[in-house]
Amino acid sequence: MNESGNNQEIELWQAFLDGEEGAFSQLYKVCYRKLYTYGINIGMTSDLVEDTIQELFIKLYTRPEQIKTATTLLAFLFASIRNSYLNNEKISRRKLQIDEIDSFYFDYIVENNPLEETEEQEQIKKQIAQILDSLTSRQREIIYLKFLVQMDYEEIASVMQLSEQAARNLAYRAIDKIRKNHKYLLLFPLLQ
Amino acid sequence: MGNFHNHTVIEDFLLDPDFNRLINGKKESGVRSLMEEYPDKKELIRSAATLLLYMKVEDIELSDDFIEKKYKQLKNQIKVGKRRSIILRAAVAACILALITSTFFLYKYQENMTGKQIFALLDSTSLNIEEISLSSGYTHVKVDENKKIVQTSSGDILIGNEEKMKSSEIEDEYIQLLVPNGKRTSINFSDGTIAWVNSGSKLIYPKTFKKNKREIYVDGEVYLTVAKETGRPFIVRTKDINVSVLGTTFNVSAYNNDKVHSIVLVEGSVEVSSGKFNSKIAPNQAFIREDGIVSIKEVDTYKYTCWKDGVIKLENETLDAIFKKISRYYNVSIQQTDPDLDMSKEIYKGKLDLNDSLKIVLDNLAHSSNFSYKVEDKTVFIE
Repeated sequence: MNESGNNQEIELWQAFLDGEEGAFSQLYKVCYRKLYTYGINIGMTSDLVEDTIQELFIKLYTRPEQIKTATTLLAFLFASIRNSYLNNEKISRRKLQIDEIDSFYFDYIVENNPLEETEEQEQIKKQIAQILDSLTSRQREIIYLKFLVQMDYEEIASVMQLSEQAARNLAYRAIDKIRKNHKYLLLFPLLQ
Repeated sequence: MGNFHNHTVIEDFLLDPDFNRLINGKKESGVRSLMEEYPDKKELIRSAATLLLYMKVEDIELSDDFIEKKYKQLKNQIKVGKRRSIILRAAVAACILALITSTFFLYKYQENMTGKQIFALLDSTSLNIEEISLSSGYTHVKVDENKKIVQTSSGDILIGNEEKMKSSEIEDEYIQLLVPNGKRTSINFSDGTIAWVNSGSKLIYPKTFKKNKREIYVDGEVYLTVAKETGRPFIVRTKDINVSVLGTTFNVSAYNNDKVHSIVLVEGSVEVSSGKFNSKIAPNQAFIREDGIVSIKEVDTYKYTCWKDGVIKLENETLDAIFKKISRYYNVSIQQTDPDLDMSKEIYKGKLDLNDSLKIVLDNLAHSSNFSYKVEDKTVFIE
């Protein structure tokens, strides 16, 4: 049993395999936003993400026996999106040696807090953007997967094609950078 | 509640799933009580909480309705995968997913699809495959390079004299042949026409030719000997050029990612049309389209058809063009590491025998010009 919260997908997948009605549609709905957001953050166009997700789920539905996951189903789905994008890039750029996503980016928003002033929120947003900019693409990606998708290292390793140890190292380096830059955030009185 | 006694740096909190759950759940109230419980770690807790609370990704606007719609579309696509009609997205370049265990041929071709739609799908088909593949709908077979593909008059498909696909198994209107870099093959159509297909090519043809025309779609390079049939011309359609023939031998070179497309006539008679241009060409003539500009000229046809014999004849070829051909034939990627080496000006004469290994071919080429090379895995670096 892995530590992440991504067991819902596994349960739904198993239910689907067991023939439970409605499990597949549930699975689709539960996964859609996460996969879509990830695809966009990697750098795919919205059309490309939509099509890729459809193809992925068609395959899940029609050839479930071909799905072999090393870890959770969600990690498998993320890894598929990632591989799909990389393969596409390889062909369009005609290089066989691309295995890096070099443009991972995502925007943070400030959660709506009635106690905060909008200007302050803007400032915080800028600070956070600065922190993100100081990270490499892979560091951003791992922060995203770790904190926002809440994957554990085993899952991240299979998505980003790293060993678990390498994933941990990458995460620590990223957090290290964040820590060095986060002092600015302390200035904002989120919590009295 | 979790145990945070041993947490001394911000990472300890950030990476603690209990802390994460607390923040995401109770948010401020949770944090406040935590700060009261661990007064010595107040600052740490506050920083970590701030980071986590603020690190919410911009939710891309996807309404539940939208997802519901996409699911309906998915169900539909699965259903029609088993029947014969399909929902098409005409212009977009999607990419075919190569999952861990197999490649999956999704697209299906409908009877009344326009050429534009067929090419949009062709465009989005990936050649990132190991083996030559022949597919129709969900049925597909791998083709060994040394075996000939033959489609009998009854519609069955034989590969190397073995029956691989019965006519009844072919569910779709069209059959798709994918030849990745590094491979070549030949296919005999049901009317007796033979096509040699070069590396890096995609070809789509109907399971049964129509009554008034025999039509195939090509992105890549094919050499054809067309069986004569009065009243039923054979038409090769590429993205920008159509070739219509009654009975003849010619070469079509129309790789989507090449700048120059050409139709070269060896014997017989063909009519070429491209955009507004429309004309017949005679044997030993080539129709050339480059950057949208068309022209007809006399050529040495062997230069254009020799690939079929595994030879590249070099005559006023730039290094650039030669490398492209080598790259497709041997399935390697060629990268230039010396920026001073001008690949567009070099002109060569001679011939490369592609039955030789890549190394010998490169040695020959390097010998007659000033470059050296290094091969690493599937990439050749030119210095």
